[in-house]
Amino acid sequence: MTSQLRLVRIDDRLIHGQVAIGWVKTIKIQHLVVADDAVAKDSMQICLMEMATPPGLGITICPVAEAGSVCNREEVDGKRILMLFSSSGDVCRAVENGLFLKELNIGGMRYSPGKKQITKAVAIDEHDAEHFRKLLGYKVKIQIQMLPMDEPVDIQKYI
Amino acid sequence: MDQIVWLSVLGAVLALDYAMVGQFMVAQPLVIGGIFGALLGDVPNGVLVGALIQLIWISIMPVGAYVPPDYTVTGGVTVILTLTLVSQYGFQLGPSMVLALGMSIPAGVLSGKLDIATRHFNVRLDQSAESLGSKYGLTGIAWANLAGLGPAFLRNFLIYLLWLGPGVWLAVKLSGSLPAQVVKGLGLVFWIIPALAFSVILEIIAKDRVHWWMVAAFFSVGLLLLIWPGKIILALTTAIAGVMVMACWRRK
Amino acid sequence: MNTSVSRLTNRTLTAIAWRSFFIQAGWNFQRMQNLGFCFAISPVIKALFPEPRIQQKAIKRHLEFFNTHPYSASIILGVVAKLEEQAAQAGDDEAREAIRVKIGMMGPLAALGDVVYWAMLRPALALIGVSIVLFGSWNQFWLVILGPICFLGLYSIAHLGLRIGGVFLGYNQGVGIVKKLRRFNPQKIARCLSLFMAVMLGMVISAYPLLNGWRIFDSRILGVVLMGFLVGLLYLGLRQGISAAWLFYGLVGLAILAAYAGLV
Repeated sequence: MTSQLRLVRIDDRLIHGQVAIGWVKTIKIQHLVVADDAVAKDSMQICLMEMATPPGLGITICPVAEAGSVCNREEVDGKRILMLFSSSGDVCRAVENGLFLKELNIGGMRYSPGKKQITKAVAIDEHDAEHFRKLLGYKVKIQIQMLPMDEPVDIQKYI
Repeated sequence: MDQIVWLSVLGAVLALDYAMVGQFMVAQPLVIGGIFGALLGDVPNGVLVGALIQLIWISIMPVGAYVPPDYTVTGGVTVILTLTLVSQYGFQLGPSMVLALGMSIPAGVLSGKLDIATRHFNVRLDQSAESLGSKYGLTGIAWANLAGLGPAFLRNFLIYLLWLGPGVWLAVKLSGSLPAQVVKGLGLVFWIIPALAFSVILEIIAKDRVHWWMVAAFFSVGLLLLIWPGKIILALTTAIAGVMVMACWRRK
Repeated sequence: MNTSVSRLTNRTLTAIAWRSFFIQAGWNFQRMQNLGFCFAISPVIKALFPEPRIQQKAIKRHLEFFNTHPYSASIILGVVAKLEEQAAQAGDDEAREAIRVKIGMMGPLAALGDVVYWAMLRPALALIGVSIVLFGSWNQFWLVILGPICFLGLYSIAHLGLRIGGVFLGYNQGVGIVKKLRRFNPQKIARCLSLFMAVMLGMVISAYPLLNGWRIFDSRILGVVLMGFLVGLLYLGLRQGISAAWLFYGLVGLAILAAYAGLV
């Protein structure tokens, strides 16, 4: 039996309240995967991620390049997975490294000078737009949706 | 008139506690009911009305950048409307409370919508912060941050004013002209509100798969109360629940 | 080692704790709590970087995006104060480590605050407070007052403990606080509180109709059954995505219809 990738999300705060309360319970997630190069080699960040993981859930932290193969690991076998990335570039890289992706959820991409704020919690720049166009080219459906109760908004009108 | 204005000022100041300053929880309906109750001379009814509203929106919370309707404003306005109807005009508590709550829910929704608008407005504060910072240093930052309180206060002050001015007048007019059946229906809802609230709590815990504990408590407490309706049973059950939390915490 | 830089005093930390109550005052949809964080960390910047040029740099780096739970922000403020102090002592005016830790902590600590305080502790204590009001015969002044006092008092212990204690704990422990937090296991606390709520909920569902004398055909048991039925029905409504506010209006409509039909 293989695992099911229920939600792939870009959220630059990775695991936080919206993920731990909102998404995990609503779509009955059993395992979290955090695919991020900086987190994977930082013991403090790993510790923080483990603290923020809801009880009863497993967590795997891996570098972006391994995101595609993580679903075949023993620890996630048969589990409903939520996968988190911190940037659009990482998702692109994961897809190029063999992650099979049909849908992408955008939760939070923080504003910094030079970016354009497109919704309440999402700000993108030209690089992000480029990455999203590339992903759209791979037939990935990209939607902005902060919480399960929010209406999903298609990315296409912003890029 | 003066009373309406200072109640509105107080309501708007307390409402800042909900999301802007402190989060001491003094704006929660249960507490604000006691405060407005004390000011209007009827603490028990104020607290009771506050408690019922607290129960309905017990699970509402602002997670991250999500801004829900502000039910602390609904709570404050409902308490004041109800107590005015009951103590100044002699209407019954139950129907008055339900009518007041029905009128005040839009106030909370409006406050939530305006809250989002003010948070968009605050983007300007952020944009001016860097220049303020380079001109006036840390004092400039302090002003930029605290300036956010202005619009938040103003919005809730105006909402309170609107609902306590024309709102009270409308509530009195309505209460005086409602047919007996409608009053009866409203009074009935007063007794059913806890059922609505309990279902809201059920929704919180249902996601954690602890509902069998609820069923067990439901039957055992129900049975005990049928045999002997003493309130001490409730205190004991609460204590047992407290011990269970400790035991759960100890367990690996 | 730059010895001219003083260590942060307890007074500075107290000032941070006091200012942390205003962390959401300038909340905006662009960089969220950035103004509040910069405002709260100001005493540190002032104490460590008296020179205007370096102070400007510090202000700028703390005006970047920040968003976490308003209570657990205190821990981050404490840790950042520590790291800024270390950076200043090493003569490093970039404090990259402080910023990295700050950004890394904001998400997971938001989960701590949201899961423990917003989702569980507040509802659980509110339920205790409301139960006291509902069942403590509500025309007796002191019994009624006990409800809000109990709620606010118990909540404040947990709230102020984290709000004020968090700053000092974060400063004293530095990054090591992360390990402590993991052992403290906030997620498990949330789970235990959920168990508490389940027992309390079962209790109030049967106690409310019984103690208020709900009867159908003179039967108290049927009164309880009616209560259970109503809760189940309304729960199904909530599950369908209908908000509590609309369910309330629906109940009002149904009750008035029932009154006209002579059922009550």
